[in-house]
Amino acid sequence: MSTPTAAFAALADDTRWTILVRLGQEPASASTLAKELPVSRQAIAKHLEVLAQAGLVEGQRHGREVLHHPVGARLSELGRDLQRIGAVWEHRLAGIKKIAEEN
Amino acid sequence: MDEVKRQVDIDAPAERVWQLISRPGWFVNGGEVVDHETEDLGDGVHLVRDPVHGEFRIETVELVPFRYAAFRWLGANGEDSSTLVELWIENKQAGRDGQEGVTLTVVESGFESLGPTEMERRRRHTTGWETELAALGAHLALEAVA
Repeated sequence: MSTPTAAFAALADDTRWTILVRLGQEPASASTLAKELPVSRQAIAKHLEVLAQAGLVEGQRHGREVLHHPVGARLSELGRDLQRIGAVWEHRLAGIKKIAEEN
Repeated sequence: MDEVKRQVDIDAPAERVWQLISRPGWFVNGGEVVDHETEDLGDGVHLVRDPVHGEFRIETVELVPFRYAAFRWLGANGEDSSTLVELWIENKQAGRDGQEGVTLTVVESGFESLGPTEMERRRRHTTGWETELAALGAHLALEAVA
């Protein structure tokens, strides 16, 4: 179970902060991060583990790789998507109402 | 919480509303009841071709005439990810004018199961419809939403 303390501790490291910011731009695999940042693949894996334990990052399998994304950002992204999908459902229901009531 | 729920009151009999919402893939649009090109792929799955927004596979999960319809909106390329679209038609009590009507409720759930590719596809589909609806005038939705 992640705690705020664990999260702050996780972010106290410059490299982990850099990783989090980078993932906020676009989800990425550990391999991609290792290519982009001046950090070894091994160190990347360790940092991702610390961030995951602190509840700040989540990995999702996509094909053969695992893409990591910041949890907060993902939730607000999904929230925005749901809002827009909800708006389209309103229009669909309005369309059904219009046609059903026509006769 | 990964579901979307919306509701609308309709002054029409349940049978009429059922006629409109029980056809597989009717919702692959932004509100107009367009006659999509539909291909029966077997096993309750239909391929619905929207002239503007592409092809979508819809599986009919359950139909309880005049009451409940459930469809699975499948991902492209045989992905396992899908969303579940459920619709309920409930009778409303007759109003003062004796007019009976129904409440139509929709719940779409399972978005968490969509991979980034499929979510992006849905996002594009949503954006495409938003543009078209903005052109038509979105006032209908504002009137109709319960």
